Amino acid sequence: MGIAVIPKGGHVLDKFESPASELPAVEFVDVSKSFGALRVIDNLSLRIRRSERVSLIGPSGSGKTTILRLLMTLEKPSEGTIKVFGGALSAGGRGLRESEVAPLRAKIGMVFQQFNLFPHMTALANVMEAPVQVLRMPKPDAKALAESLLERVGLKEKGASYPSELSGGQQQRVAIARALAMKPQIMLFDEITSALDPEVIGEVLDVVHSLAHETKMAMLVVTHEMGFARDIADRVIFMEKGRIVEEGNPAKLFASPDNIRTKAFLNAVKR
Amino acid sequence: MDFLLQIYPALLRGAFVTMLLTLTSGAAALAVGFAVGLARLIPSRWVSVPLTIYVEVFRNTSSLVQIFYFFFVLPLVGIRFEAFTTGCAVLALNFGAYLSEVVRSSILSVDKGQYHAAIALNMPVLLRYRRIIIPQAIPVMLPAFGNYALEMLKATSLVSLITITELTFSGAQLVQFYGHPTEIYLSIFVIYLILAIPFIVLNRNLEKRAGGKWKARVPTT
Amino acid sequence: MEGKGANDMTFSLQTMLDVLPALLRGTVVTLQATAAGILLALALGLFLAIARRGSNRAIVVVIDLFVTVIRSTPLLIQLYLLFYVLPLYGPSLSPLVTGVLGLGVHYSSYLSEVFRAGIDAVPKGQWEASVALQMPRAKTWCRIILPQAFRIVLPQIGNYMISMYKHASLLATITVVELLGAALNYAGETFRYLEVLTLVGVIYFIIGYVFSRIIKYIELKLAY
Repeated sequence: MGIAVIPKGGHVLDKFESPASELPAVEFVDVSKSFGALRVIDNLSLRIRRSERVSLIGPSGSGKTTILRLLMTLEKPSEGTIKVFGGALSAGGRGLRESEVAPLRAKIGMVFQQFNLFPHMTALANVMEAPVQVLRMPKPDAKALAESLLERVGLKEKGASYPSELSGGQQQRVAIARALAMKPQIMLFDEITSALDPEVIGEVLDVVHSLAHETKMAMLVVTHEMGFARDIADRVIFMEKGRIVEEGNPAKLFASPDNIRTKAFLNAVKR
Repeated sequence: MDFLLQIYPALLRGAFVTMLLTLTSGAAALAVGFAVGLARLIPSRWVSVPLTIYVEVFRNTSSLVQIFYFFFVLPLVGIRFEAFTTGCAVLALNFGAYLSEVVRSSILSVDKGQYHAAIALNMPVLLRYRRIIIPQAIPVMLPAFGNYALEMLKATSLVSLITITELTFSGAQLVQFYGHPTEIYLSIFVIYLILAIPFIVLNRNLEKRAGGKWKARVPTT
Repeated sequence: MEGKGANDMTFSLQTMLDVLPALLRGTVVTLQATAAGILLALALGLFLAIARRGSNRAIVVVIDLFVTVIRSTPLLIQLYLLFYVLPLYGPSLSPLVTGVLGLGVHYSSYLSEVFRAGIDAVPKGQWEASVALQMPRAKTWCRIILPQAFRIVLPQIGNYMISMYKHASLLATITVVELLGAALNYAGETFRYLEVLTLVGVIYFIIGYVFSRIIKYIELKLAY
């Protein structure tokens, strides 16, 4: 398998061997986000270590997805500071200039609920697009990279297919390969199985599990699949109304949550 | 019949000028439409307000009035062009206003997820539009472009009124010299129809394509 | 007088005031032509759309040919044919009636397509429900299908009406003294093209802009 193309933890650590290596991958300090009168993120602080895997769970509207969107600079926070490997992505409730944000954003990859593959490009071209256009990688290299990534997600044969010719599960796996091609050190998974038919959810989750085993990327997973949230994570965060209600070790949190609202939520989704 | 043989070279010359006008003004209108349609997406009032005024003024006044305005008024303030240039310019500005709306709305119709994916891949804003958004918006624009191309062919007849010797003006002159309005105007009617055939065929194909393979590739969600 | 006007580049408000009454009379003619033209186009367009739904293949071909030919040729030439050629063989109509006829027939080709799409957009279940209720065919059209189709196509009809309003300026070429005709008459005598045509543009813009706002409003209302 094309493991070599995935940034390894060692590679990440090499770069930050100094005291800087203590810097967390992601840091939210007193971050709030409002849409009009609605406060989706309420004065939230959060740290995610390098290589840490974190699941975000909670009822819809609790702000889980907004955390990912803030990190990906798809939204600007209303207040607070967001840092990636110590560099500020936004500060004092304001977004920063594109030239400052781009190098930080380069460390982050994202997989979306609706896949968002480029419909006018083949699967292979989807994966090659950003390495060639953004990283200026030579085309043959990008092609080799894309082919190995497609093989890695089990779609070696589908490189010439357009997204409309692929099933939802296949499209989502292409989307994962596309995000990996940029060699991110932080991966964001935003309800990646919510738009899928039940019978193909497994194939997508298997890919994410194998990534978790074989790489040292930090992962931030928003999901409604409680089994997946528990198995993939080092830490589970339960959110409600834009705040962290409870967080901790997955086995402990799922088996015996301390907070009554966590308990209520877990009971509700179990049914 | 003899009469038709006598006048047909003049009509052919007129038809040629009509096609030339259609293609020149059409190409210019396309350039204006793209430039204005894209520029209106820039989130700055200094850009969007003047462009919105341009679009609204040209869309809400009669094209014939615009043609006369350029022909009679610009020389009064010292700007002189040949009639052909004036005709092309007005048609290009008039259709450019409409096309810019097509360009703008087609680009805005592209799924927001495509913007998000492009940002997540760290694409700079120009690259986002050039590689991801515009290629998906163009198939949406094409049927409207086809319809406007045919409208452009028809609209060129208006510049006959500022003495450009295209098909309609050639005919009107011939009628003044020889009479025979029936033969001449019917001939012109038929020639317009013949000139329109490529556009009609093109539009049929564009409509079919937009409903077929392309739509399968470009989900509208 | 003429020479003076042509060379005098100062913008004269007095000229605008002088010409305004004539232009307003012209505006009334433009609006009359548009109103009559759109009624004719609606009636003819609806007739074509319904007639085309019959099972007679020949009728369908003839209607499609008519619509394509009228749509694909300039209104100006159609007006010339009606104004200069038709009287040689048939009745001599007044310029305004000729213009309304030209506008109406030209735009019926667009509206027949609009109606066709609108009628197609009414769900099949509406026809089936009408059959199940033993409704006669004519009643089904008038009470069930057309009211729904009209609602669907109303914004498009409005847009074509605005388009026709602007196109009505072509009636100046067949001697109708509508807005542009009145302006050209006055400017031809005084050479005050700047003031007169500017005023014409302003009048067109105000009415056109108000019309298009109303259409937008109706569109939003209908879409809920």
